[in-house]
Amino acid sequence: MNAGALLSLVLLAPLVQGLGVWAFGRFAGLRDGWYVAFALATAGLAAALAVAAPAADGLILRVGASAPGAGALFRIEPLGVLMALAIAWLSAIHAVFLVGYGRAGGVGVNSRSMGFAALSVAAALCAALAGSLATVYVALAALTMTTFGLVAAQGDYASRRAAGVHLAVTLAAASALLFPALVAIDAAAADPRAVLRFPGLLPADFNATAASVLLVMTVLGVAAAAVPPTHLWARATARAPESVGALLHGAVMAPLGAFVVLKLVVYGFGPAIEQARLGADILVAVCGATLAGASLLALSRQEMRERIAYVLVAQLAGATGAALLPTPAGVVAAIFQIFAVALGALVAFMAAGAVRAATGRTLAADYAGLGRLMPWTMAGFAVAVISIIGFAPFAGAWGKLWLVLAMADRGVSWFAVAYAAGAISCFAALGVTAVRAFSAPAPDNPFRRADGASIVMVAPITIGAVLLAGLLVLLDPITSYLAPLWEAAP
Amino acid sequence: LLLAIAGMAAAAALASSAARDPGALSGALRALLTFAAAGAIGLFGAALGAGAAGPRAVAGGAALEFFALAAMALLAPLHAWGGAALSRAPALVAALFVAVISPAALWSLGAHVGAAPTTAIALILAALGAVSAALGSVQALAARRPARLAGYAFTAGAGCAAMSLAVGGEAGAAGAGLQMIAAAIAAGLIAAAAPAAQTFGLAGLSRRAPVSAAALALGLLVAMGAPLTIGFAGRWAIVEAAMDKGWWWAAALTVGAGLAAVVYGGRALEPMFFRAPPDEPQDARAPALAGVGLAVVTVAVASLGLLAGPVAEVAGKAGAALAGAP
Repeated sequence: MNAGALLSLVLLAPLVQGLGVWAFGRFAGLRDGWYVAFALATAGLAAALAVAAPAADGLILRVGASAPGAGALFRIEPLGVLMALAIAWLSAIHAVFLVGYGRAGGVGVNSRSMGFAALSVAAALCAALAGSLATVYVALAALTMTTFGLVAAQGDYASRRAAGVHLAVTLAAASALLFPALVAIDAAAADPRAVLRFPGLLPADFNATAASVLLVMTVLGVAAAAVPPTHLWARATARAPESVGALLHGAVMAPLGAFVVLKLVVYGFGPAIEQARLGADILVAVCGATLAGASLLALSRQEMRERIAYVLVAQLAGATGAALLPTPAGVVAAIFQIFAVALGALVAFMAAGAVRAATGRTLAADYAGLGRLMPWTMAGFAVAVISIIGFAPFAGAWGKLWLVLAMADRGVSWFAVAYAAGAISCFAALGVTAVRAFSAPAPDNPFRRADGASIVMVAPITIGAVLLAGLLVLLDPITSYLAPLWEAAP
Repeated sequence: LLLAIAGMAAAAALASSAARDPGALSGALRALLTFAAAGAIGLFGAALGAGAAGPRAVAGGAALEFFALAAMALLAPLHAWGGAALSRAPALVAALFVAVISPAALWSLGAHVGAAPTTAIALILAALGAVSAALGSVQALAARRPARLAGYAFTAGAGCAAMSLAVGGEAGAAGAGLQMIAAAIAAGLIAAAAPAAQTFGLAGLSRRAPVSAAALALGLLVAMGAPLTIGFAGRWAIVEAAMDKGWWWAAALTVGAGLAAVVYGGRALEPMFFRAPPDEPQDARAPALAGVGLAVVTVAVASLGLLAGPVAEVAGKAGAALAGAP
């Protein structure tokens, strides 16, 4: 199958998945089978696309007309294909967990939420593979709407309120900041309506003030990246059920936000990012403060899902900061940090969900001793936490290493201090819980279900933990995969 | 003159619904007076221009025609009749005002400006557009009745189109053409679905009256300039044209109007789709034929968004024709 067909299928498969879930909603077995089968198929197709992509670099798929909003344009390029692969695999792991979690009576699993979950994945894939500024905007808007449905799907007042805040913040940021920024970049581009490609749309001698303003508007306009003050959506949705939080924070929304910033910097601003140093410096400072501060705030939260969400926002701020560095090291640091943090957060969320489904526990303090009763689940949780903190040899360490090196290379040495502060806070927020899960005595009568967590819930957690250890071997292949980006530099 | 006659006829139709809702009479009277006065002033302006008694007379005649058309096009601050007339109007009459008569007046205004493009006229049009976009958005934010919201949303959208016309050039005219279509469609759909929303309330409307809810939602999405609707293409074109000319304030106002639409649209959409309808039974039922008609229009508008390419092309050509391009 050629790369163009694979690209179409990767984009279409989750759409069909979502529609099928709604169609078969009354038959739980059929619905769940359909959901998992299509998630795995999407992951397989994304892997095939990643293999075929180097030979088809630059291939364009146009849907509809070329006027903005009248159609969509997708393009095969290394960054987008890698992110699409990550989204597809993370969502496939999540799909298996979601089915197990739902069958264990987990909160927030119904046909409506599963349908919106599939459509969220479709929108995220569209954003990752978008080939024009208008398509990026359309895909992000679609992601906002579908994740709104995902968060609100539970139907109670708290969910609706969280979904409302999520919608208001992301749409307001997109309409007020991202939209005019993208139109301005499009208007200022040497070739208006050009596809997003290296070395960027803006001319290298673009006005410095305008470049800084546009950069700030772009980064804050992509609210999914959760750079303060647009992080409010993440705070509002932090109390969503673990199954929702895992997908929202660990696979489609937050990681994609950091990725879209990276994509717009590399393919939109290009060399003009050097002109936007003032804006970039301000944003890097905000990201550094977020990296250090959000983990600290996580300590004030007692609900485990909230703690994970806060830590995730902190860690992804590091990725967003790296994305603003116009160097190969910055690109590698950003992409690796996104992958590692997303996978770590997904595993941690899934473990928290399994604990809740099996024992009814949601508070971090109640995790003491659970490692003796749920060794696989809590081992997965511990690996995820260790990786997020940044201990070698797990995936999180390498992203952070590149991050600190890239920042130091640009003279932003203080970022290492922010990183260290974030790591210590992260350890205090999640690491101590993981340690106490194994060191404290096992609690009496912990399970609300006689059989504990089922294999369908535990297997995705274990697989995710293994991947966190295995990502180390992918560091070189990923760097080689992205090499065409800087080899193409003029 | 034809527009004035159409407006007065619509006002008469509105007055005929006073048996059901006496409040409609007040709105009908305002609409009647506005269209009668605009018709008379416009006619006088045309006569003054045709008489060609000197350049001042010609300019005065053109100005009279301009303001008569602006009043009929619901451009602020000449739009006071809209809220009163639309808030009590039956669906068909309200849709007639905001989807046919006022857009036609706006179109005529564009042709009028295109025929005699001077800096003064462009600046007046830009000022009217700016006031309309700002005031219409603020009033839409405050509107509680969907029908009234339709009028104010149209005023805001028409204001953006007027600014784009004033920007001039092919890009500005194309943006104006797209935005005129979008504003008419958005307001028309909101107005057509308004009676159902008024009868059943917004909470749970998607379950009580799904077709009306879909029409209202689509109208609001077009007004917001949501992607995959014709409104998105219009806003993109206007902001791009305004930035090209260096009119940052016009771009900011267009973005601001979209942002306001997100707020009032989101405020209406949330209860429609994510709240349960009230428990008390409702006897009222929408007429089946009206439901079918609304469904057909909704599907057509949704398709228009998906097939916005050809529409953009046609709107671009029409806009260029308005701007007097060859």
